[in-house]
Amino acid sequence: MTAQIHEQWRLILKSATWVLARKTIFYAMAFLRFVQRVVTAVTGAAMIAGVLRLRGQGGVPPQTGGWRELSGPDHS
Amino acid sequence: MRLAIVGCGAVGGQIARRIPSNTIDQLVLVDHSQADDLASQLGAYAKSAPIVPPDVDVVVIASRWGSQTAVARQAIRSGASVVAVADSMEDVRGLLALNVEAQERGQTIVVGAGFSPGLTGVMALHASTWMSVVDEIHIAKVGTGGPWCARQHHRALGNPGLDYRRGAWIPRSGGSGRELSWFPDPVGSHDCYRAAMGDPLLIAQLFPEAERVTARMAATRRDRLTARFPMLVPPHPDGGIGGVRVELRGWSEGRREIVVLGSAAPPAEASATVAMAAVHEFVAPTNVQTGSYPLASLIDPQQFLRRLATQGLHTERFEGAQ
Repeated sequence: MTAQIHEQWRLILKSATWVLARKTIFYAMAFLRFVQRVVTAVTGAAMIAGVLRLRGQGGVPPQTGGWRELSGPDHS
Repeated sequence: MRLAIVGCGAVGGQIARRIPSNTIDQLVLVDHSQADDLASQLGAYAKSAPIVPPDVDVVVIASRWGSQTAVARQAIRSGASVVAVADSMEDVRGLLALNVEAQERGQTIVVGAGFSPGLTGVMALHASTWMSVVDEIHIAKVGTGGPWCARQHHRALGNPGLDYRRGAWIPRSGGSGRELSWFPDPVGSHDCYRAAMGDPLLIAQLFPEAERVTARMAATRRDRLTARFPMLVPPHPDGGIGGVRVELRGWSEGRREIVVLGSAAPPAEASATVAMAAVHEFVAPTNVQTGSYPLASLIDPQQFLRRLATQGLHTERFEGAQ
């Protein structure tokens, strides 16, 4: 009798451990996939930014222009 | 010509003081609190009255917002033309609605003869002559004139404005749509927001085929935060330097073109200058239409801007925008 109860408990514990292990592995895999995607996105963005920065010539702020009062030609 | 000025505050008072006495026969000042003092300072040709007398030729309305339509209706019924320095949406709408009655009575109502609306419309019409097609007109203003102008500014920011888009009016929440606008020196750059302004109603009449007409006013974070509450702190007697800016986008000789015109001046002083120049159109009438119209549609914009420049209100063009 005692041996039977012991065996039942052993089976219950074994299956619970198995379920827990499967869930842990599932969540660990999902987390790793998320990390992989983040790393890929950041790396991709950094590469694109790097290419744009290297290829771009940079802007020069306007050196002339601004507000000018209307004069003769503007009134024609 | 007999001229009446209704409202002798920051704008009306300046018009009364600056209008040359040799261009008018009599000046009647209508204001509950300031007309008597002002009339006594000006001399024999000026007098005060509790209401607009029936024998005047032109009535300049520079009174507080909300009162201008009733005064204009009374004026045209007594046989006078009207120059209204209206900037609130309600006043502009009410004055434009008097069009049929003004035509029937053979009188003219100039709607929006101030800094904004007024000069903005004239600048827009002038700038449009440099373009073959005008798609968009964007107005921005900064600063306030007298205390009632400041109250109107506060009120406008808390109420929805109207954007004109392809023939339709779209209500837009006041205080939304931040846009950094550059005004002529010394005003510089200011964040501008949508507000209940009268400008789009008048600009859309001048450019009915435009795709977009918008108007914004400069405001601080505090202005936007308190716009929906009553004005607890009394405004300054004069708001100091201000500015207006008109941006036209369109096409010229197959190329996309952007033209930006602006002006910087104390708004009360500038409004008085524009209103005086509008009155001058009645002193020497060439071919003034009857009805209710925006200022720009009744004058020659080039000639009008030149006249303003001789009176110290200069228009400037921004170069380097393309």
